[in-house]
Amino acid sequence: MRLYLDTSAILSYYDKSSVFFENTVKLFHYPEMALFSGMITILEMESVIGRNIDSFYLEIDPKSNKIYKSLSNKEKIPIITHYFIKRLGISIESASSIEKCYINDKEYDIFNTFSLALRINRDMKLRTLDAIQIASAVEIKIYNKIDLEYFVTNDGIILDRKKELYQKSHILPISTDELVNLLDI
Amino acid sequence: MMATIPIKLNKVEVSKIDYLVKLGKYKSRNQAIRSFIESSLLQESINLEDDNLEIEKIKKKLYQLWDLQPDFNLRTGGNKSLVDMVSQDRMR
Repeated sequence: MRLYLDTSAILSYYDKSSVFFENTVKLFHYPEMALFSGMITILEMESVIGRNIDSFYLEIDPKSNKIYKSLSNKEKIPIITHYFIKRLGISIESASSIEKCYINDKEYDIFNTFSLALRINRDMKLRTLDAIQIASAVEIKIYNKIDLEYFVTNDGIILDRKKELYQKSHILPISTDELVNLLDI
Repeated sequence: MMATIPIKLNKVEVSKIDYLVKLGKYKSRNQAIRSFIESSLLQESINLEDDNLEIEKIKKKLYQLWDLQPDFNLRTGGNKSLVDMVSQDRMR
């Protein structure tokens, strides 16, 4: 099964404080899950982890904890973020092409992720990062030709509009809890 | 590759630099300021290449140790989970 993971879904797997933690672990350990996400997820994760790095602690062995504590926050942020991606075996797909965009008669080069986000958002009026995440999933499905089955997110605002988003993007947003129930895990 | 970095100096500092240029010690304000910065940086023992290699080694070691752990989790200290924080950030 091929899943696009929103930032909230990935963090639900690692954050024991999250109400979604247990089902997310069950879901991602289910056999033959192929997990994908976009470059925007790296930026978003580094941003959230970076801004909250002093308020969480890793449950790790004493030896690695000693090494980890010797690092500066600036060094810790990419190390944790990249490990979160690596441990789950998530494939990060980058923007596949540059498109032309016209603003006030001037031509600009933009990644097609942003071009898609602009088009989706004119109808949907989503929050900026929601639009970019949805566009990232659409891009992977259509341009990178990876047949994603679900857009997995634990963000309530996206999930409230899943029917509309499905009509627009042809990828169904679903929470980790719902997918666990659907698959009867 | 050169980068232009604007800096603010007070009147006294600018006057001193102009004085040194007038004496012929430096050809221009630019040359004078670059000379001061270069000599200060030489006194700092920085080797950018070595720093990056060192971090890469640490990262590799940490990943090896973390891969051995059956679980790899975090706990947030306050009332909010990281998921809550992501959602809150998207509201901005």
